[in-house]
Amino acid sequence: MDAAFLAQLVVNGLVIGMIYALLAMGLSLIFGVLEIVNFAHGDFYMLGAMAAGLALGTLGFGYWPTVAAVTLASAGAGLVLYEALLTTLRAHSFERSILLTLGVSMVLQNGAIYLFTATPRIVESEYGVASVGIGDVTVTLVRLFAIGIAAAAFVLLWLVLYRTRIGQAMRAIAQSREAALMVGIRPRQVARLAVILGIALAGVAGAALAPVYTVHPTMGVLLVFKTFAIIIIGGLGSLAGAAITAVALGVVESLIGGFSSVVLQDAFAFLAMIAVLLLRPQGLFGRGVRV
Amino acid sequence: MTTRLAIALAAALAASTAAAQEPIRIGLSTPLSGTAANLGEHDKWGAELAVEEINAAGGLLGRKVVLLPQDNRCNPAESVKAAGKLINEDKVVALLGAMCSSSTLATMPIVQRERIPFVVAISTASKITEQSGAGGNVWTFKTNPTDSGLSKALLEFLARDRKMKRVAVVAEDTDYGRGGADAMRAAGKEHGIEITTADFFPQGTPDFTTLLTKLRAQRPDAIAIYALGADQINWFRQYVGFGMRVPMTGRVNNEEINKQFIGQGAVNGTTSVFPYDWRVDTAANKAFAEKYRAKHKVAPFYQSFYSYEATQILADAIRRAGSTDAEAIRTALRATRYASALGATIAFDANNQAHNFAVITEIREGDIKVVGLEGT
Repeated sequence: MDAAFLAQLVVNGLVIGMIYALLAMGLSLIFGVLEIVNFAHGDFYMLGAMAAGLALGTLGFGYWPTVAAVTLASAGAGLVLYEALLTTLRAHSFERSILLTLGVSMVLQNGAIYLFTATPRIVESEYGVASVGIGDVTVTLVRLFAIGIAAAAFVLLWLVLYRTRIGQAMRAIAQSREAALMVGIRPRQVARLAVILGIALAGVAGAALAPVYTVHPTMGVLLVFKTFAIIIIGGLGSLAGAAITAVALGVVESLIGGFSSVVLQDAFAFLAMIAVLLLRPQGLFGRGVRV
Repeated sequence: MTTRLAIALAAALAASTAAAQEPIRIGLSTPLSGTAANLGEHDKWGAELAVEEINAAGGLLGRKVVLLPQDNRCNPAESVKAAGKLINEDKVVALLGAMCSSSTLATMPIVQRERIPFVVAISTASKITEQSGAGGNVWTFKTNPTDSGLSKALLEFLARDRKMKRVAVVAEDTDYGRGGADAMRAAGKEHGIEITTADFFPQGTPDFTTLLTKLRAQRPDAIAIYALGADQINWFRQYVGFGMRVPMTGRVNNEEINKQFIGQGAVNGTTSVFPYDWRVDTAANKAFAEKYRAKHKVAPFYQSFYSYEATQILADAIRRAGSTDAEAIRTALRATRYASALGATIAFDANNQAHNFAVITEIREGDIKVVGLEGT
């Protein structure tokens, strides 16, 4: 087999995998701290892409100002989501949290259809389809930037979690809510930050991908289910597990598509999820099932 | 008494003259809302232009013609409703439509039951033709080429003029895409072109790089694509970004390729088969395109042209039938000999299917050129 063919497939997979990771880490973070599965996560990715389309198209922003603006706006959306809705949930109301986030998802999707119609749109940045080639491997600039943005987001998230007090508190709550409360950590502040970070990650993923793919109101739906599969495979609440699984899945999917059929790509994630649930229910990187 | 009789007579006379001047109603079932509304509008504009010209030339059988458009939203259930309303409430003498293949297929049983002539001009599903004519739905007539006719025309051109041997197919995972791929395989056998692979992707697939990578390694002579709207736009963006050198072909909608790509020469060598292109260089087509552009400020679409000619063909049949009786119109339609602006003569075969030319275009030196008209 041609080495260039393999290299190209791996590079393609890395781009997609990094984006999966942005979404999966946000979802995992929110679950770890709040014990809420955010069904609207994919819709915040869609909102990020829609906002990027608005900024690049109608408002005439450049690519980088757009990414920055959308990240800030998504963080703001995360704040509103937490303060307006998620604080109304009491402890141990898992079913209510599912209904609530599903409701948010429906409102966001149909709101986007109402405002922008269901017609998929093409978002162009000033980089257009310019690409770089190393040997026979070709990557468009906007895809490379998407990898760069994702990598930068990982580093920032790591710094927040491991180099700040509030990050430490976040990890503490994820480990043991009761013990964290006992040592005087205020869960509200920590939860708020987790939601802001999680939604900002989804938004920046949308902004980075808007000039790569088509943008439409239901673009987050398939992705959010795949992200669920990723965090289940990686181990619920394990951030590193989510990131590693996401990147690996991107590459494996690309190889499957390359060597067999594209139709099988989407099936793989869910088959892997079922296999992991049967053989290692706590996930590949999980530390055991928590109650 | 005599005055009363005179009044009654006068009234009867007035009523009969009114009946003589009652317009001939033609129904048009097409999507006027929903995602296909833009195309439905061109369908309507084409039929309207034909009706305008017919009326300006004195109408049909001494009566005016009115077109009654009815929205079917490109939805089979809505299409059933639309046909029912046009036939039972509006009392149309014949039906045009229904644009989307699934809508047309849903309308066919109704025209069969109600015995109303139905002229289909835009739907391409081969199934419509298979179910029509002798031994089937005798009321349905189809003026435009089918999927299999279009594929045959394309592969004949690629084999003869481009000496191609291997073509890969990329298609959306729908009736349209699967049908297109099947038609390509069948036509490939006939013209000695190997269809190397047929890859299907779900509508709205964001990423095509895996497919592009695979096809670059496979090195076919061309890649035939069957994708609609945003998927085709997205495909071409990723194809150009990927720096792919294999030319594109298939049912490419030239009007929906990024103008920049065409201008830069990034998609040079792209060939396409389509039922119509406004650039076709015949006097009749130029005159039609000119009239259409003067009225609507845009070049005619495939929908505009075929709808215009289907309306003319129906009017010609009514004129020859000498009445608006459904059976008489149907018999007249069977005997149609209509000179299409594309150059072929429209006549219906045993399956009530006409065989107009298909238009082959090529993007060359940053512009779209018509490079051939092939029989279907």
